[in-house]
Amino acid sequence: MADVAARAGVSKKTVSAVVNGVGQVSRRTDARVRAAIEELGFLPNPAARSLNSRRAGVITLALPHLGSGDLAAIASAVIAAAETAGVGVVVEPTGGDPAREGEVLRPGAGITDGVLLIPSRRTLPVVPGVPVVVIGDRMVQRTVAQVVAPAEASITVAAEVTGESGELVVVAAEEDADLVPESLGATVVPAEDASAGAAFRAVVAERTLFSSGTPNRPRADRVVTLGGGSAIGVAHALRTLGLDIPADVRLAAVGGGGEPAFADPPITTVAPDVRQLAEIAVGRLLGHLDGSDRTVRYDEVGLLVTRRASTGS
Amino acid sequence: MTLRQVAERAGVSIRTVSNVVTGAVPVRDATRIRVEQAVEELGYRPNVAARRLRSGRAQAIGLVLPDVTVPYFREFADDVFAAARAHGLAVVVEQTRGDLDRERSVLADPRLRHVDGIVFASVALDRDDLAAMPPPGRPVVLAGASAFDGPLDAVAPDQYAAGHAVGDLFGRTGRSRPVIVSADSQRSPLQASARYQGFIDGLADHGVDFGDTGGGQAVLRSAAVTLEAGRAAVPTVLDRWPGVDAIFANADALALGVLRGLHDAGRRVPEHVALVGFGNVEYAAHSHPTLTTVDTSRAAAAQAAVKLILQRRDAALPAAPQHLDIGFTLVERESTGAGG
Repeated sequence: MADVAARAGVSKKTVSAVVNGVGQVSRRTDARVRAAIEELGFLPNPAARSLNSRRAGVITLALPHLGSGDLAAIASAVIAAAETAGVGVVVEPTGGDPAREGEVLRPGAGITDGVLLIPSRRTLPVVPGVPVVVIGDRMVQRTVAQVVAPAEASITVAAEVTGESGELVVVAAEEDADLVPESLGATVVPAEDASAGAAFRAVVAERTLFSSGTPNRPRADRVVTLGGGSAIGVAHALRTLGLDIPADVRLAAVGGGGEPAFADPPITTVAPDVRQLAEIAVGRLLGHLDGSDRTVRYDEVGLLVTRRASTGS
Repeated sequence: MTLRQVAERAGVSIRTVSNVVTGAVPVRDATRIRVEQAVEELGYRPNVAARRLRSGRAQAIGLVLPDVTVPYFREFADDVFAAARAHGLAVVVEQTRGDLDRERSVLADPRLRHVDGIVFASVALDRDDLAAMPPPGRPVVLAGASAFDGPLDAVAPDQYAAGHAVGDLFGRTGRSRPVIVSADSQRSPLQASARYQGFIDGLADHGVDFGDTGGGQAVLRSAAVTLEAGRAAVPTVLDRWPGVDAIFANADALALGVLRGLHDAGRRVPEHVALVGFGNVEYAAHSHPTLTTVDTSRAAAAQAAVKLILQRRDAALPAAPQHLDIGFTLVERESTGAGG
């Protein structure tokens, strides 16, 4: 904190007031302090004596929602890792709304000691005012601790697993469409969200892509989905279009949860090592809270590729 | 260490100390600095309630469920989040893995100490367990599997009627050798439940005697409510009841696993074996074939449970436990021969 105070040209009390949202600070001073925090990558040390230093023994997991098998798998692993460390988890569904994410990151924002955030965008809406570790499938442009299984890499691997040639379609929720690497030359079919139902409707609406192709592109014979739920919806839609997996279309899912393994045919998945993701993230956050870890690091976790009948394995 | 002691040290009123701590009302710098110094000197730590006040976020509720990876419970969790958010409530999630000891003690868990009420999706507790638990000290609403006429508020569908609808469906589609696959616990066996009784009566209406299928009572207990447990149950089912022509799995995750197991064993659904699940999770509408199931109004249950907690907190209800029937729908799909 002394470094931030020196950089901003203010007292430590003023820095404390900005970080904890207590007391009165002029807007200009507030901005100066926040800029210094950003530059120095400062993490508030709750071991320091401040009004906000009471440990509640609970952390927040802020994520868009739980309905998808992929997010639920991460949430379950986080809850388990936190439980092992004797810490409870408040689950804060943000609906992918940056305003709600910003609320969670405000100083003095809630009843917990720190936040694990699964963001929906590449940017955080505010300078975090609470200890935070970002987890999920995308790196955020911010000096903040992150544990990531990058979606771009996962999508590329999944595309390779569906075959080296042929027309590729990627089915993704609209807000995730920008994760698809352009170099793949894929046609992106956007769905309302990551649910099976949304993917089903999206594919049925684009049936010509799969049944006959378009004047510009031949018939698609490879599909990658973002999310296991989407893959199940896609498989259902292709069946109703009279297409066979894998004979007519090869299908792979990024993410997974448990369901793709039980589909008919079972669906190939490229999934992050969720347990590793959760353990590293929870460990980092707790390390920040007790002062044993003051680094701001970017960690990547490995991918698990499970080939199944949907890609002809 | 209290606000009063800080106030005395700083020579101000308790209200002033509170204003500094919460930041809710601006305080003159000189006063504020005195209060902050007093806080530092005395080592005062505002309790979580003060932090909540400062944040403007008033409360949280607890959600206790077996496992957020089970499709039914994660979808229920999302419904509870939506209902809680509508009331400005945060949600603390606890997983029990359906373990009896954990369910018995979870309401006293320190991690839930600050919540104003708890939605409890219990799968292992029976009426005696509930009667033996100490009063939780805040509103607890049981949600889902069993509607106990016990000491706690509860929201659930009419389990007897739901079971009856499934038995009736098998009966009227000409199935005569049904088997149940169930993940109920040993301590509150399915046979004691209203859902099971309804199922038997629904079959009996069509002259099918569930007890008369050879090999004893045609109920197989699976290890857990998971896809894998459902799949693993199939070889045993086919071995013990080779003439099986209908399976009622009492959770969709089990049913979808059973479906996979039947595929692997070369049994066609619905031609050889009709299949019904319970819960209407999202996947049930997209499986191959699509899965007939009982929709248990999860979203309505979540909303009703959250509302009950708030009404209890505001003392707006009579003392007697409320048991709300939130209704159900039998959703017929390809796995019992219906179209789509």
